[in-house]
Amino acid sequence: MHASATKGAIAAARPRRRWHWALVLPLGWVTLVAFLAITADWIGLPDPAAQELILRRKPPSAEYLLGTDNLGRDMLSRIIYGARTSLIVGICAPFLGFLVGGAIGISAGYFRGKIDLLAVGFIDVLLAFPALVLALTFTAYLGQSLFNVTLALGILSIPAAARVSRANTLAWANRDFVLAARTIGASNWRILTREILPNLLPPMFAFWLVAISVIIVAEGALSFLGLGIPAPQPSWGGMIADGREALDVAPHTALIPAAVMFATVLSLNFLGDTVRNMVDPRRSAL
Amino acid sequence: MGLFTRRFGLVAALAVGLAAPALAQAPAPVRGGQLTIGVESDFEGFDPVRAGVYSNSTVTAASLFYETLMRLDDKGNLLPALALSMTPNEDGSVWAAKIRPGVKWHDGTPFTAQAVADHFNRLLDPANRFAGRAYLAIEKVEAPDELTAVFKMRGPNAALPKTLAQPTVTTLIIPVKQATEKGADYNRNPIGTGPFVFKEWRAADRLVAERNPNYWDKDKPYLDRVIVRPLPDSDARYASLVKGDVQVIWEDRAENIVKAKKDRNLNVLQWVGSGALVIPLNTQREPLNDKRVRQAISMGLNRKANAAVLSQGLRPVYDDPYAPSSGIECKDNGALGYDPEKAKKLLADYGKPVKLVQTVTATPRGREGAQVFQADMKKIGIDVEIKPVDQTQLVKEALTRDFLVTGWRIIDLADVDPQMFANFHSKSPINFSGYNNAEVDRLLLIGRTSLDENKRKAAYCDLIKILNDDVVWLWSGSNIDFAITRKNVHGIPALRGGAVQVEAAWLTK
Amino acid sequence: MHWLARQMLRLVVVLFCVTLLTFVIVNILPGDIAIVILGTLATPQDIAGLRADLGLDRPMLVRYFDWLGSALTGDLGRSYRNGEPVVQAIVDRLPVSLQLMVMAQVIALGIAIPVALLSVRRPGGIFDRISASAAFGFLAMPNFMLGIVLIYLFSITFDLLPATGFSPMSEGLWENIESMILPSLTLGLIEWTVLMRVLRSDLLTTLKEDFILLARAKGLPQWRVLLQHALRPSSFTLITILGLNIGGLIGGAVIVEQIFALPGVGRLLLGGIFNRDLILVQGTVSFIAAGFVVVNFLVDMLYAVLDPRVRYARFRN
Repeated sequence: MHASATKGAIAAARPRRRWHWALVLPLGWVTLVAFLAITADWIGLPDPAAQELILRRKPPSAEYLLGTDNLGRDMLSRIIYGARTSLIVGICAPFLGFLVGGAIGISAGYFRGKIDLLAVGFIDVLLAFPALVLALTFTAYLGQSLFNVTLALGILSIPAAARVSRANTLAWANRDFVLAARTIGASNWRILTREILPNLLPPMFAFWLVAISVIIVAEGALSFLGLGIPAPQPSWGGMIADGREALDVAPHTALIPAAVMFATVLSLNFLGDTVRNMVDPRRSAL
Repeated sequence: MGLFTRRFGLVAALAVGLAAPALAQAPAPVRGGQLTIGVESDFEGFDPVRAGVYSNSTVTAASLFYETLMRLDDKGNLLPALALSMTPNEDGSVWAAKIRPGVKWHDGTPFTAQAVADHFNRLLDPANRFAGRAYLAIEKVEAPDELTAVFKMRGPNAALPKTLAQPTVTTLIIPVKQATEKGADYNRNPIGTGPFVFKEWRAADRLVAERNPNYWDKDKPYLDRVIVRPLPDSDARYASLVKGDVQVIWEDRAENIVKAKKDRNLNVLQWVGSGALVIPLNTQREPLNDKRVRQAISMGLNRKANAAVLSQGLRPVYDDPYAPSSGIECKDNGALGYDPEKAKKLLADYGKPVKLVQTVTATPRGREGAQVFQADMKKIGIDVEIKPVDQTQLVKEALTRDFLVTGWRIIDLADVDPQMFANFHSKSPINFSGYNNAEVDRLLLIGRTSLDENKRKAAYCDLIKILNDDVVWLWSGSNIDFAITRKNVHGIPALRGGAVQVEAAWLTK
Repeated sequence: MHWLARQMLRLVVVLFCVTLLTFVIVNILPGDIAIVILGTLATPQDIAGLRADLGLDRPMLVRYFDWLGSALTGDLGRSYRNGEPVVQAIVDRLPVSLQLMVMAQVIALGIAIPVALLSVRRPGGIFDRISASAAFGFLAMPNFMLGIVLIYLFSITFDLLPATGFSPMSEGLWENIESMILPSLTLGLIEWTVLMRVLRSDLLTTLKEDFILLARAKGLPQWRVLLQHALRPSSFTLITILGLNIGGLIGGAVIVEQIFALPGVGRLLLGGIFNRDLILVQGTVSFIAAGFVVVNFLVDMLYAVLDPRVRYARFRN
């Protein structure tokens, strides 16, 4: 019922044709990337770790479609294998964070009192602990691996998710429709899942999509500090970190992974917008 | 009798160094100006006992206000500095240093032989746990009078004057009395005898030193003020030089050096020191305790081609850790050469599949080297797993011999004895390859004790033949250091140990 | 008053947990300060001796409470590595990190708010799409790359700003600001994207609210509706993220500090960890944690200012 105006005010004038483009292009790209990442082993790509030092930093050519990197490895192969790594880290780490953090945040914001105090304390400790120290400890103590890096970045995204969900829950928990649900005797569980969660999802979802890109880049930052996925396994962030070395002599070594990453996060977010508009409960109430 | 000739030869060389003021034909230096140097890392501090080690960045800063007893010119000849001369006894087990009179510490107190003795004895005292003492072949230092310091060696030692001439954490002399009085604060507020007086050190930002008006070498220094700035990011450091924010930088990225060579506003200085970048193999562990496997690794690693590509042809690769600056030239060094086919045969002969773990520092350089090693090994059928760790952990694993393959560096010293002895003598506590060979021990002892330079050189050549055949460490590249300066900076000597020394530097407009 | 007391308690509890956690974590890190100090030639006897001298051979909990005791009197000890008093080290570095943080946030907000407002005027319109693309372009650009690109652009090509280094206020206000522009721009240009996206999303939700309808019905122009009615209640996520950014940046921005050679807290901490300088890490982390709790406390207060309902809820509890 809130939304009856929305259509009139904002969305009505949007031509239908645009919807399709906004859906088809990003969907196509994401599907392509995901497909290649999954099937990388079977599509006849050269070994992403195979070096030909003499042929380092070659620009794109017929033989090497995306050129070669600092150690003369096929960039195309590394981009595709890198997609696998980056997508696993980028999707799983924030997902882990949002699952744990979201649950903490919602309970804290809704129940308040002791639970809130405890949750906030927990988040505060996690947050107040410098991310760098945590990531360093993780990788130094448990060793550098895809799993550990994902876990470290996942834990690092718990507090943010928790705070965002708590703040939003705080704002929604005292709204009329929640109070109304409470007066008619709805259970806490019901109120949380039916009244509050749907309102939380849009901002959380938007944040998650952004978080994917942030995490993919963060993995690159870890690589830059020497704490990322161990070589020679490629990741987009790590490739950019390596490519930075030759930014002026062979810009493609950094720009190609950056461009691929850009296209992917952009697609994910456009898709996100579209999906959100489609599933927005108040919009569908129309 | 050859012994005597040798002794007089040395004294004569000193006299020449004293008599002929260098650079007679060069344009006259100009006084004044401020010079800013960009180095790689912040400084550990300037009390050797507290700092333990000086990085090359720290030596660059420390040699502004500290000095050594002797100095080396760019050709490796000894020059007097805080000492006017150094003379050995009959067998080279005692050296007497004649101290330059009239030198004063920056706080005005006189510099005496006692200060020299105090400095070295402090480092040698086991209670101070100065780890660098493992390199020192000095037993103790005495000061019979104000201007004579007597070095009592643990045995005959030919290399002492040269060793003392290279600026390092050990040889740069500090005032022990003042350091003890200041306690923990001294580390950050050093006093020396050198050409510049320490003014200020803002951690991670800059160190400022100003001209010492009372410097013993009357004309020097030419500069009024020197600032040393730690600029950790290599590209940003280079950009600062191009922009003119700094006038000199230490640099190791091949890309930037190649660029600088083409830049009309910049000069590139380079120095190939002794020592080498090395890949140590743990000879006590499976499968590296088998000589065939080690030889296969040596033949499978395309050291020269790899270095040529990665350093864009800048870094020479030798088959020994000596380098031309050490003066040791071997006709036959017994290097195995690149031969992947033979490597595969050796491995087939060995019979079992070989898997290695290479522990490297988690830095771009470490990662690059490890991946190249990994790719070469794969070509001969050896699986290498890369284990990136940080510097501390790598050192710990090396010292406890808890590694298979790692990455290391034999630092640039004026004489090869201290490093070779420490790394390969079976009784050395830091021989972390666990190498044990009686013949090698014997040769190392000749290198350490003989006063006959030719005999020493022959011993080191015999030694390298054994090491190359046994494949203990792989020499993956020479110790080459670069500094890039703006065109108007002059008078910077050879970059020994990677340090930029500006005692004689001057600026034109 | 009651609320304030609770916040203080929260500070104390969090600090206790964080310091204890730091102690445990830094202690289990492989590697050893004794090796860092003694160097590559250390003998096992020397290492053991130095550890005993530094008191590192005592049980961890004993050392922790020892440290806690002197920390409570304001003495965070001296760095094992170079003997610098830890408090001094933090006090020296903190202004740099704080200035970087403030300037970066100003830049980020200065871009994010107008862009978000302009894009929700027509979601899915040209401006919205272009700004979204630009945002993700910057988001996909790691700061270690953006930093060097900015240096090449602004200090070398245009010769406008110094490439690296920090000038303290004492050397002149402009010199000081000049030295901080590129680092803050590097952070800000990346951070605005996240701020813009969450603000845009919240604005879209708010615009569907009844009171906005009402405002529109009153015939208020679009920009007044956005600025006066929609912006404030839409800033929850924005403020939260901002609080996180600020809190995170108190701990310094390691990579940016490293590239631009700024003497900030981040590099202090990184050096401390790499050197296993336990006492330095311990002091710095505790300090950062304290700063963080304070910032979050302020953010919570801001929620109340932004939305009276939260304020009411707060007092009701």
